[in-house]
Amino acid sequence: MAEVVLARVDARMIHGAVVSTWVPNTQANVLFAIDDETYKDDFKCMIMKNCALNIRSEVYSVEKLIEVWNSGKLRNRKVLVVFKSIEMAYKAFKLGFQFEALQLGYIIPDEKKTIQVDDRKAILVSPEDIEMLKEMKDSNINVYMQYSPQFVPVAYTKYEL
Amino acid sequence: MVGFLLLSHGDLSKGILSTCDCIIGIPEKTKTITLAIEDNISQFETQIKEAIDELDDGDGVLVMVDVLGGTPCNQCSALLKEKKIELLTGMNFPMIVAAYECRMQGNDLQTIKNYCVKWAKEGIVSVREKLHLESL
Repeated sequence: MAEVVLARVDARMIHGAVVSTWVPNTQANVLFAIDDETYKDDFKCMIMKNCALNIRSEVYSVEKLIEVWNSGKLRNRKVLVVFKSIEMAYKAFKLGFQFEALQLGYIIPDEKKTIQVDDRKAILVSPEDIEMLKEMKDSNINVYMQYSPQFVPVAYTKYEL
Repeated sequence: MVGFLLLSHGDLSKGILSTCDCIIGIPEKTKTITLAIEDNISQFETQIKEAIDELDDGDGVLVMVDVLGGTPCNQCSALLKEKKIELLTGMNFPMIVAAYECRMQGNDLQTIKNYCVKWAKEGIVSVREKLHLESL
């Protein structure tokens, strides 16, 4: 049975810092970057995959992730899943993709994502994000914040505005 | 004239220019952009675009970044289809010196890029091996 060794939200997805720290740290042997928009853009997918020198990687939409996961082809792979956004992680969760914990790593701030929940300013969320995280936490997913392995994981404790 | 754009996590690109200042002087038509953890990636992309547009007088821009797969590299990769740029990873001092020398001789972007790749690699030398000294 394939195993999710890490589910992380990181807007940079397949990125030098993710590949060079979390891959060895988790001993993952395949990396899936999940974003519905990026998946539609072959050129962006190619750029992303080009960054992962030490691991097989794929860029998938949420639906494709679930299709591949349910296909049984992953056998006993150790899978590192990087979602581009909380929204993508939430969509996967709602469609039945199972993960025990969700690590919040890096989020691109925008006009809606302005609520800072960590002290490194790497994680800014919107009111909608807070609702989605709350629902996942209520389903016993351990949501925590950790920028990179050298930092201590910090429990996500923001439940309401 | 080909422009130079140096992109890095932290101050590497600024530091390389400071080293240039000691040895060959600061090359003209050269810009640096640095990225800190708290910076917004989407603003970084805009900064890169603006710097390229400023530097490109029609001859194009050679972009040098610290590492393959990092944000500076990834953000700039996305511009390869729309901007007249060449993008090199593994920026080091020999690379900058090569770019400077090659441009001074009036070469075009492709020639400068190829020259930079060669000299950036050749600039990495184990001195002990080169001197045929046994390790202690």
